[in-house]
Amino acid sequence: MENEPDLTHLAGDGFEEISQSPTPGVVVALVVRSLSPDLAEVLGALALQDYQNLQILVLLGPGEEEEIGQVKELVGSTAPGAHITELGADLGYALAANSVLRLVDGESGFFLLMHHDVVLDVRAVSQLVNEMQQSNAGVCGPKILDGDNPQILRSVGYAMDWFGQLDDPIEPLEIDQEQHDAVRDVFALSSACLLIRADLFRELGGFEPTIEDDGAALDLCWRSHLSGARVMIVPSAMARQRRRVHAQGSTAERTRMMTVASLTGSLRMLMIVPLLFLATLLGALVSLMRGDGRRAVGLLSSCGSPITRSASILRRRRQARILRRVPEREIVELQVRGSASWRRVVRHGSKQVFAGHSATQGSRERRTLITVGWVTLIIVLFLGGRHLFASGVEPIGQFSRLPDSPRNLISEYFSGWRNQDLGSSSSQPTSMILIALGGIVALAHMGLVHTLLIVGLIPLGWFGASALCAVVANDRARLAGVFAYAAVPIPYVAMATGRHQVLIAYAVVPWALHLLRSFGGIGSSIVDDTVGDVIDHPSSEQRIRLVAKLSLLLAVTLAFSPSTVLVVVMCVVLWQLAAVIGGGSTRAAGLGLAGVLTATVAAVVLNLPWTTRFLQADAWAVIVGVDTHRPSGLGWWDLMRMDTGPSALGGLVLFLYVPLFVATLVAKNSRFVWSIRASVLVTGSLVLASLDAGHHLPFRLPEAGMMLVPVAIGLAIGAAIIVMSFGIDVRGANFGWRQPLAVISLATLSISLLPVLAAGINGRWGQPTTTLAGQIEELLGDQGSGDFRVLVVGDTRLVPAGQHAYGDGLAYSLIQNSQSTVLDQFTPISDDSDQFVKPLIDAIAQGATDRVGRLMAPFGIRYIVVPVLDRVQSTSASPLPVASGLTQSLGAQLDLRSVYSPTSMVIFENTQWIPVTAMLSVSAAQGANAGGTAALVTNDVSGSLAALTGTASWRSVTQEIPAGQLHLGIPFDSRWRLENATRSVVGMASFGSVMTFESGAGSGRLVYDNPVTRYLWVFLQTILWIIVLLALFQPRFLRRRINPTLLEPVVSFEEMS
Amino acid sequence: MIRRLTVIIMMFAACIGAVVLPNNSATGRPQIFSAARRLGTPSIHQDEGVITRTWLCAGSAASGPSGDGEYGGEVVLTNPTDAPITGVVTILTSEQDPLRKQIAVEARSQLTVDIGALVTARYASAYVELSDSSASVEQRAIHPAGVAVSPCANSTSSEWYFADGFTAAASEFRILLTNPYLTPAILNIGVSTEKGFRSPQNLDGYVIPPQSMRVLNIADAGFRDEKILAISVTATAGQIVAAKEQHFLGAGRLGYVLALGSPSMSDQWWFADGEKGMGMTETFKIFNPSEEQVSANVLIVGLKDTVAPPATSLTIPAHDVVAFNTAALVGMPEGLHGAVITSQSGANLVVERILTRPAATSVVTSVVLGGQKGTRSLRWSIPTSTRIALKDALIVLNTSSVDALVTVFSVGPGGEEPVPGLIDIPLAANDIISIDLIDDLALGRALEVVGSQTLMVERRLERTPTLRGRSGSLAIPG
Repeated sequence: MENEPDLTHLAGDGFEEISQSPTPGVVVALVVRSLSPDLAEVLGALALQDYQNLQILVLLGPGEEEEIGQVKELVGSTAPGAHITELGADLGYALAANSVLRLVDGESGFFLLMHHDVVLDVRAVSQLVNEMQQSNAGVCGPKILDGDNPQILRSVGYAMDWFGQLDDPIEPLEIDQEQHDAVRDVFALSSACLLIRADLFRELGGFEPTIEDDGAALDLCWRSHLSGARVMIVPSAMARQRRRVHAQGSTAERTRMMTVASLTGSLRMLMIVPLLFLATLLGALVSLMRGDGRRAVGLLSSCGSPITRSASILRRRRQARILRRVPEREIVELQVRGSASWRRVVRHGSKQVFAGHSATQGSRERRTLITVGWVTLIIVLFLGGRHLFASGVEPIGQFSRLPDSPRNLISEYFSGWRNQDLGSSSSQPTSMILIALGGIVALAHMGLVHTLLIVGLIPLGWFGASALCAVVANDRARLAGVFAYAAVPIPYVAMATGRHQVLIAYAVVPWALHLLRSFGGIGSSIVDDTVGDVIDHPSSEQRIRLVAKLSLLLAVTLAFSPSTVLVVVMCVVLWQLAAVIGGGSTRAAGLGLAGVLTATVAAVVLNLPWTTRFLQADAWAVIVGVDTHRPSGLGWWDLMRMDTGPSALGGLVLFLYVPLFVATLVAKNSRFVWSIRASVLVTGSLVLASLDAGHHLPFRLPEAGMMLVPVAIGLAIGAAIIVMSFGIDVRGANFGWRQPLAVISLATLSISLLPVLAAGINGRWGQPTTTLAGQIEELLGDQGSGDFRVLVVGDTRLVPAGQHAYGDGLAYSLIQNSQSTVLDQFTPISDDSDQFVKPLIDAIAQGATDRVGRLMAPFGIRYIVVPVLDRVQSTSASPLPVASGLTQSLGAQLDLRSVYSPTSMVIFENTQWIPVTAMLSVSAAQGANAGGTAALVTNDVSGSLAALTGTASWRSVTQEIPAGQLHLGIPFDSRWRLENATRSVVGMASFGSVMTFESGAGSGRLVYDNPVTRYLWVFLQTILWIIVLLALFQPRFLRRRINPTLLEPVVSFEEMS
Repeated sequence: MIRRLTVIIMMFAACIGAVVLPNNSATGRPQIFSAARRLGTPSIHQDEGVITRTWLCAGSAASGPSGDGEYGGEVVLTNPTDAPITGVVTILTSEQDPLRKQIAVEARSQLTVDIGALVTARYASAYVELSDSSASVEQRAIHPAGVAVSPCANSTSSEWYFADGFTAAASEFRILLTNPYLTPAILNIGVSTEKGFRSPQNLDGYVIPPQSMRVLNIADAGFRDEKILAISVTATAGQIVAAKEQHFLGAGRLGYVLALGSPSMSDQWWFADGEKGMGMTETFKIFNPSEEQVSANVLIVGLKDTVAPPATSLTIPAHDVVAFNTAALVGMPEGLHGAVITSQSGANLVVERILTRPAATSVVTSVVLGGQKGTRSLRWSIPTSTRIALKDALIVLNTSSVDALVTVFSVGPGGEEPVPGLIDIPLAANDIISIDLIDDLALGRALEVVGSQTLMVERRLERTPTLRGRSGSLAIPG
């Protein structure tokens, strides 16, 4: 039989020496998750054990009925007396092993807890039991050798430092020369196989249920030490285990961090916790320097776990306190002083060791290449943006600054009042609370958040491309894909021109496609000879997790860039097309489409009520942005070169099309499908972008930069495919046209990287040092005379903040106190601006009045700015023309005074302006009472005095105010009231558009009565986000549990004795 | 392989399709915020959407009575509608802060604002903001040498031109510059004389403070005893209103003129009035303020039963002004005529007509800026007409090639009423008629001249009830 185990090498000399004396019972708990090739050998080895009083208990995880049947058949044939218990769910090793507490009756014996891939020497159990009895130990473990090469040592127990880092005494690939064969106390054992006293295991409550696999063994051993039990390695007992994949990154680090926090003594914690954080940060830094970014991320993310999982830690500490019989100092004596990691590095520079397994990954050469590749990219990123990291990203285009205070943001988010434009009772954008949360994480360093929200999107996109290019299952090819994605000028042009939306698309779309690929079941490996896609079959849990991930991704994306979601949907539709014409799996593509639609709906729901903005008439303009007037639209050639802005050597990106084209010609099997997928993505996106640029579509699409992101992704996949195909489809084939073509395409791949280097030369990714928004803030920022608004009118490419379309490529926006923030880019549901401000601009354009200043005065519009040069889209060398008649019309207004301004803008000051909160002058009060335009234009409304400056819906300012009319320059809203002395004053409509309050002399403050529905919405939204997070993380308490009533004892130690 | 080729062909086809499609967005058209407001002859644009309409008057002396007579100004507002119109008059001087006065013009009536009664200043100008676009505003400048009527401007401009200036025989020539805005205006003033074009240093960077006016005496600026003077005023910052005040004291000219300059150049200039006769001198000053030489044609129209002389071609050098005397035309008959001066090379001319007529034992000179292309209208408003019965008070030119009927209406408390005897007056194509205003209904009231074809209307109003001779001015189209 093929699966017949070869056990002869395990049979030692004492095979016949079977002890006839009464022996304690040993119950082997073998946790089996699936039908593995090693299982027959494992079971056979157990059946051949020389220890007689042994019962085998197979704890079987979930699986297909057929597979379970095969396992049962195998167990029945190999170990006839074994008990099989179906757990019904994939509980993980620790929880599954814990089930022996219910399945085995009695305490007078031992549990041998084993993984399904551990093959025991025939004397292993008896050796372990003997040593356990002789040494009066609580836990014992065998010497574990390599499953493939039994001469190589895998585990002989571990020491541990104060920070939970394990110190493995063996070198990587160390040959077993019996050099570790002394029985000795160790701090921890491998979870692969360990023998534990049944009473101790019951007392400890089994493995810690929140820890999977290896970390659970450390926790169990540590708690055993606390209870006074010895933990020992018994080298005379041997076992073999094939190499396994271990918990990596954040999970292992988080487990370690939590175990230290749970089991260290209380007083000692005061010293350990700071050192632990310090050591973790240092470890992250070292990992980063060694090119192990994943571990660095894992270490950093683990720092938060003591806070986020404090409840679990407290519970574990309570349990540990009950167990503790040994003074803390004795436990510390068992631990290694200093850092085990450092000792390991000094000793042999090995990688991380956790619970006994060297985490070596692939060949050293491949790792070096990957490390060098990523380090190069990171260096390029840092050098290219070196000045931005020092001084922050300039507020150009959509890179408006973030609000200063996360606390204010949270307050504003809970408020039902939206301060943007003229202000209105309206839902707040979800981005507000997300930025606030980011600010909290960054300890209110909003500049840092701003920089990360912009520059950080570039590497995020690279990581996304790396994840997506993992379909090639070859690290070199994958890296080629990442380099191709990094080589396109899209992100650098976006940095130079302030296109945040484009950067978001650049970062998000590859991740979204990666998740959708996984959701659809398109396999990640294409090293095969199968025609068509490689299909995986994710479990329901995995699919739920993937949809939850995608929903969260799209929800966060939607909060900042709705058009990116549109681009993702477009890509998936193109993939569907590619599946049809390229012979890919239409089912997988269909599943992907279903997934993206589900996630999109979820994203919309998660952003409620703000997404009701998309029900307005101008929803499409809100999604895709205000129409931009381009006298000469982008042509096909421009789009192919991705020439959407300033980019040095941009034309070289054309070389990236060569690998894609060649890949389409030379790739075979699933690689061909992927090359078609990439080609359709490139062609489809280019065609759509071209049609949009030429105004051939009945609707507008997102801006060209965003439409080109799928093109970049297609080129990245093409680059990865050609590298992969070169190794599989080309090199191995007979010499023909494929070989030279492939070589040429590999050469062009390297040429196309030059633009990235050129773009990074000035250290700012081409951003100007002086910006339009900065100058507006600097020149017009004086709030000494009260709160005011700035009206910016001009070309859509130059107008900052939330744009309102004004037709013919023109737009206008309102900026509060000359300081625009990123939140201003999300226009509110209210159309007050279009109702009140647009007609005033119309009046200027049509020459309907020369007194528009008076008409604007009630809204607090103090300045009108016409942007001319932003030094990005419009430079002194190549200025965009100012719209015909704009400055002339403004100049013809009798109330507007031309203010000395730099060449970048033309500024007019409205001499009639009334501060947003002000006590009206006598003449202004007359105009306010008369109402209507006619009364307003004939009255001089200047001379009002600012009062209650700084009032916001979430922040009331109290001040002594005189008797008179208190003006509030917002459209009438009955939720505002004035608390004046001891009375509450309701507002009245004034000037036909805004509000006033009849005030008496005394203290006054404006109050906004928040609607209860706002709190309900926030509550509902929080619940919805939590639900999706639960679906993503699928915490243990939500997983399907074993019904304890179903687990009846099947073995009894009493009976065994 | 078939699938591979199919896919490649499909993608190429898609690319080619996208490439060959025309780019609909490649219009090359600049963005337009506001259609350029036509700066030219003042007119009435009735527009329901108007919130306020501003009229900017030329300005006048405002020093009041003196030993040689009265110096003052009036602003005449006419409301032809059936509802009152409200507004504000703002008076600007060089000495005082702006003075604002709320006004209301009753329905179908006129309101006269006496500038001199409101401010005491050497010169004052006014702008009027009204709540309705149907109203019209004119200025009457009162001077011992006569009253000059001039429609107020519809808008300010950054450039103003004067084709005729005259400082011979100690004649006075002043430019009145008004800046109604809150920002200083900075001007460059160029002067063309017989000796050529000059841009004196003292007239470069000439500043008009916000909301004020300045009066520039051209003779004092170094241009004395000049028979030919043309002025270009260009604002490098801000916009202004510019007018000229001329007091002729000899050298063939006598009288008083106060009129707006031209806020733009044009390629067509129309004149309804014009006359050849004993003791009369008619000269067209054709000014080319542009940088290029211009070919101009002078065409006499409206000659009754006579073949018009052929068009005369003139070459006007850049920044130069040419005087064209109609008496020099061969075959020019005596009597009324109109004229059209056109440029062969675009909008680059400014033309004024100087007409000196005998008045008793003396002569009186009137200077009228022609109507620009597009000025011709079916309806002309005459806010200021005569208060005494006058013959030949209105000169009407039919600018079309079709015969027309002309009716004169009087605007009074009862609305528009046709003036007896002035109903459906036949007017042949390209012909001219002079209309006598002798009916009581036509005196002291605003008038409307309505034709069945496009017309040009000029006024010959009395200088004062006591002074002989007439002043000339265009009526207001619209």
